[in-house]
Amino acid sequence: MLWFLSTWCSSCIQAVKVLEQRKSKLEASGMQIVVLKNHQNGGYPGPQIDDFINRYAASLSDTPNWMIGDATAEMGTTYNPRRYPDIYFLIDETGMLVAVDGAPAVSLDVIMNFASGNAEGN
Amino acid sequence: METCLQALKTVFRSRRYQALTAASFALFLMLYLMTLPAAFTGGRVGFIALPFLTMELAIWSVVMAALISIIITFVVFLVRQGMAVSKASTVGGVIGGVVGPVLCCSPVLPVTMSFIAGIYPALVGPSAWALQGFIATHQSELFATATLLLVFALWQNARRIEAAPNCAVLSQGDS
Repeated sequence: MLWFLSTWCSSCIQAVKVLEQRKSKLEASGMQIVVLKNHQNGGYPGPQIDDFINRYAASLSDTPNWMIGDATAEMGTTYNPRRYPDIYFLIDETGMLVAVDGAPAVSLDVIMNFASGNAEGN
Repeated sequence: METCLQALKTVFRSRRYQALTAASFALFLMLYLMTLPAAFTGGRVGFIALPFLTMELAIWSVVMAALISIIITFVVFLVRQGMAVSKASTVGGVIGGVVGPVLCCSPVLPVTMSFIAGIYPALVGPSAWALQGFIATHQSELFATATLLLVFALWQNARRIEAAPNCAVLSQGDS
């Protein structure tokens, strides 16, 4: 799962809280979750990505299958040219894009199905 | 405040207006309850938004639904009296309350901005992209502004009711 978020975004805050509740299942599934703060935070100031995770879902920062960082301008242009504040990609082990959506808290079923190998769209 | 109370007394003499207020309140309460959490759902509204309702959003929903339902009743009363009504601040209040959460964190603004940037690049500067961030981080202030607009609309229409010749209001069958 490749997820671009902005740290001021309410749906992103909701999502990290919900995903933290499912972190055991996600970890057990072997799914790698890459969380990147949008380049320039989507055009509006907000906390650094580490502070954001520590504030809303502290236990994720040392969870092995979670990688947290900042997107470069080039990554933003490539993956999120419209600068959505909250967008994620589900990419399978062969590199195929399975789903694109936002607000993971709302589309949690899609993510959990993907994690358990039953992703929608397959 | 006294003007509003007097107007309420005048209008609520009729059970039809009481029923109209109750029906409007129920309708708008559902609308707000299903819309205000949209900031948490990436702009999705409806039953899907209900699990994301917080106590603060529920209180805003009740307050704004109560105000708008009374305003609607006042407007109907004034129209039936043949009097002018004040609509601008009501519309502003409803739009301010509903559109903010929907725009925040949803694809609506980015898609719109990208479309405009494709046609008139000069119109879309960095500040345009900051709009969503501003909405997301000032949600309570936006709800408060929307509520103030509704209170203003309520007061404006209440004043018109007080100025109206309200002895001719009751129709046959009203109590």
